[in-house]
Amino acid sequence: MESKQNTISLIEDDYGLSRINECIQCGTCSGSCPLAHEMDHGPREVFSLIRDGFLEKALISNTIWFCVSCYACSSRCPREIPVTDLIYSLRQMAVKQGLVSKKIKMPHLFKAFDRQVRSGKRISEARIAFFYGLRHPGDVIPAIPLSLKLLKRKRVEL
Amino acid sequence: MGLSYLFFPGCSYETAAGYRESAEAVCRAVEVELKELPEWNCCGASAVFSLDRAEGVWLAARLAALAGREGKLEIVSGCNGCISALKKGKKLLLQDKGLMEQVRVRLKKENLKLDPADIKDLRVRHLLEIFVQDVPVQFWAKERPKPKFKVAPYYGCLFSRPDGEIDDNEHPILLESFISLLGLDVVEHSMGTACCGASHSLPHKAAVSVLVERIIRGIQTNNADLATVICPLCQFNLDSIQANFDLPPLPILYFTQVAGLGMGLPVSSLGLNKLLVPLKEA
Ligand code: SF4
Ligand code: SF4
Repeated sequence: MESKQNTISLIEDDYGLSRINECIQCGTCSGSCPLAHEMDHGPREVFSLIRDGFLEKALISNTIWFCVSCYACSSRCPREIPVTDLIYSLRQMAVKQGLVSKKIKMPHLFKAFDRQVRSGKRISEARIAFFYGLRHPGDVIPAIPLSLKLLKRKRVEL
Repeated sequence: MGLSYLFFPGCSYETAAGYRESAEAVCRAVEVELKELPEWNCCGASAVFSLDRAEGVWLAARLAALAGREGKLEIVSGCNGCISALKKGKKLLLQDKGLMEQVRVRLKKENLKLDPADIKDLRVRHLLEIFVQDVPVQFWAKERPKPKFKVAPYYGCLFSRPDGEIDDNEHPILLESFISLLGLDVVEHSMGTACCGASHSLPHKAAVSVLVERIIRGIQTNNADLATVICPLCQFNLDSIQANFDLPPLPILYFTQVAGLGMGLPVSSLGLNKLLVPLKEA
């Protein structure tokens, strides 16, 4: 019991994770989640892992990166837990603690995006795809025919 | 004298399939002026907030300060992602005095400022809200021959979530109201707020295709001729991913394009030639 309390209280100031203590494990979040089937654990299970002292396991899971930020869980949670915002917190924590598995692709896309915002204040989808594609050409090369169609319709900004 | 708003287009507006063209044509017709927020920056979307909360908040705060410089406490946008990021930034700024202070110091370097009271009063609204709530109904409801399109509304996931600030967060009706105002037929379906997974479509195309297919199939059950959307991320995702699976093509139009069609504006002014799934003549 003691360690459970500690796990959450140590970090709650920065990340607001103490709200997890209010979770009744009803599974509404996981049932609402469009990509739960792609995740190592649904959001409900991530919260139970954290409560049971397995924070690290939660942080290295692909769950927190598969979240598409649709807020369905947050809208429906009967305890009004801000599930999506907590997942954002877990991402920031995972990055800060260096707990992001190299196999997980979303952080690479986010970084390509983030770098562009910081350097130029505005972004172009084409440039993000290019920088992300340096690392994951297999995801970007099949999109070339689509890019040509978009180019033809003046839907690309370089 | 018409209505005038400070407009934050967001990064996707320019490359969106006819969003700018149609929004401008319709706004002209209903005497709404959209004044572009000078020197605007990217909202950071879900990417920046995922990596660094303080940076995400900064982007939203800068936008709020830019609006303040124009003497406005209201920002209008046509992108669910931008609106969501701005609202998230606002919430965090109000919760966290430390963040607020950091932001104010940084804004000073750009000769900008942000009063805590102003951020509290800041309103972030979707262009659709302006159309339905502010524009006098007679602009939309004029007697004229109507195209015979059956239109399915699609809000995407973020509209009015999580708090239901704009509309009901499960079953919003603003878009239905707007289509009806235009005198067009609304197609009912259950996919209106289902997430299309846009943010993940590049790295996880297969997973996202499943979401899009489910949405298109759901919309087509009741014989819609087209779906109308209110966000460039949804439009791009639904329009482009259809090529991946085998369903009858469903044109995905912006609500501004549908408005233009309903009002009988010249089709050439609506940017419809930029759609990937073309709209067939009614
Ligand atoms: S919906 Fe809320 S209470 Fe239910 S399992 Fe998810 S977080 Fe816990
Ligand atoms: S916000 Fe994230 S965790 Fe919640 S339902 Fe949507 S994808 Fe799933």
